[in-house]
Amino acid sequence: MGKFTNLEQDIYSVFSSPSWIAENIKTYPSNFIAVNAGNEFLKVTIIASGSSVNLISVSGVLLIDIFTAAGSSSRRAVMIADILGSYFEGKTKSTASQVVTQFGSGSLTHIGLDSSNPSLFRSTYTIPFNYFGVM
Amino acid sequence: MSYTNLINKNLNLAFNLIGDLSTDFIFTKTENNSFNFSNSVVSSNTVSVATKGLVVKSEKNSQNTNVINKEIIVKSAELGDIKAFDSVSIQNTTWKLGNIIQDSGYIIRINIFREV
Repeated sequence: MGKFTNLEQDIYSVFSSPSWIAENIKTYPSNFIAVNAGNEFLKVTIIASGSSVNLISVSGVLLIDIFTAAGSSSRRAVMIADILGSYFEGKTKSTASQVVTQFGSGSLTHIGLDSSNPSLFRSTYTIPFNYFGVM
Repeated sequence: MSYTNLINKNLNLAFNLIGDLSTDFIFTKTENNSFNFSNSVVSSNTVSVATKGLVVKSEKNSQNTNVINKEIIVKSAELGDIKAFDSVSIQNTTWKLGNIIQDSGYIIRINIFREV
């Protein structure tokens, strides 16, 4: 498969793992309209637009929007960011042969109330990655 | 009889009076959906509601040449929250729901559209 598909699989493998499922945090990919998502969920977007060492490698940023209930402080969003950090920061994922995705250090930004649903507070966890393929 | 029931009763009467000018609509909404990260498969459960309504306008937007639009009127009592629905089927053709033009609480005027 191509580098973008492999990269997506590396990242999605985290969210399909039994340990992440046990965290009981609803998680959806981008371009997915969740029904009955409730007031706490994550939306995962992969931005693979950075430079790379060869033609089958790519770097970029994994962007995870953290939605929590509005008016309940930023505490839960911070806790979820730490949970995300335990799965990604400094970690290496590889679901295909001769390719690997390495993650750097994450950061958290509180965006504020969601523009399309003000009952939700949106924070964004971002973490840079490098996806390496061997030519 | 309450005013709400009176209005709904007369709406039913009006929709019966227009006879074959009315159209059968089947509205569909997704009740539950999920995404499986292990195989990237989307699964969903849908619910359909059949109702009668009226097509008041059909047009083809000159800017979006591959999209055709209709404006329809339906009774809100039979559908509830129109925003919960994703699509409507008219004579086995599926249309997406667009902007709600008017929702009086009794009738809903809404744009529907589909690709040609």
